[in-house]
Amino acid sequence: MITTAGAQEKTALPGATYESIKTLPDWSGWWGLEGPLSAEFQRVRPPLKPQLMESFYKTLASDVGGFRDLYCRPNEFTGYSGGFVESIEFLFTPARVTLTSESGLIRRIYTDGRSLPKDVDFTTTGTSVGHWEGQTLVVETVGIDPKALYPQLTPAAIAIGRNAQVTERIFLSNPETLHEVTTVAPDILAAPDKRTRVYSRVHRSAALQISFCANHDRAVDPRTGKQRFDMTPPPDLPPPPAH
Amino acid sequence: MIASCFGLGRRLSVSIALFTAAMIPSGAAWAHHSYAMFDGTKTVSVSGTVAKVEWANPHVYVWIYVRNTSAPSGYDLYAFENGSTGVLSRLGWSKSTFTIGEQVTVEYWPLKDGRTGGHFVKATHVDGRVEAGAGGPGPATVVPRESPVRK
Repeated sequence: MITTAGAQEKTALPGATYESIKTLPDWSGWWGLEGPLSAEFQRVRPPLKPQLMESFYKTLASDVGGFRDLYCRPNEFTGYSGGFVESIEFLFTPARVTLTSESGLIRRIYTDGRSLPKDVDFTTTGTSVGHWEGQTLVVETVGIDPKALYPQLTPAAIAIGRNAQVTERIFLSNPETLHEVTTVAPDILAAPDKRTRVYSRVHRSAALQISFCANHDRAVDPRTGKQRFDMTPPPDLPPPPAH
Repeated sequence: MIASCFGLGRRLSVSIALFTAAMIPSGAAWAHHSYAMFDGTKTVSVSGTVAKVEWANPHVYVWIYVRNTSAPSGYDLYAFENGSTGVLSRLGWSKSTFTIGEQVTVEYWPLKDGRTGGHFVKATHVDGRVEAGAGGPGPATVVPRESPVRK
């Protein structure tokens, strides 16, 4: 069998074979962000362009809603993989890392040595390639849907624009803690948005489920998108205690 | 048995999550809805009997019966919105954190329209253990580190 030099080089890449995957760090299980993303953005504001910054925080403060447009919108990657608050997991297969989240996002990160495509279609996940630098996975993502909302799905969120690019460096600082360092530099930002996110292992992994707002949200009317508080008792509610 | 709802040891990650929840605002305006139906300027509390925990996303709901001798059934039914299953799991919750029929005291941000319910802040079991909630219109729940939370 004739093997090309290029093919040999690719099989030599970290994680290119099942045998090689054994040398990669143990990221098994689910990982949860420590502290809500909302608090992070309140603590360190995204460096939006001045005109966007003003409208962004004005909308946030007004509490106007806007749920009709946001309701049940699929998760989009603009630098954070976890949806609203959901946990994420990593799946290693040869020459690829797949990142999933409870909110249903699936990111395919190719580690087979390919370059980012010059002509890329826009998708909700973007197109990602990665490579290993020791025990750190470095991921570059382009092709993010220009309409994807930044920094996350909120009534004040802003469409990220056509030139979004995200760089992540993912590594363990200890067996229980995973860091994700993200740089986002889309058209809407005055400067790259650098953030360090810390994830912890979620040990109660059995109960994790896809979170999608269409199901069981008593707070938002799925037909109109309007906010509400539905107090219709569950059908299997037990009767009141005897007295 | 309530005590069996939790593991033998409280893991470091849970401690960190609780500590984090205690130190930062809940960031209501960033959620997928605004929490405008809740009054985040005050908290109130009621004591009652756990009727059900709806363990589902995007919100867990806790239902309790509260004694009211003037009500036809002798009870009012209260509903409390809470965070997602993922967030609450990281705070140490599971779907069996509360046992149906157990007595609890729930602190909550009330509904502005006066109905019997609101957004869950925290609840206290009869043995003193405290369950911190997630999300909501006001500051995040502060659970004293020395409180008998799931040892």
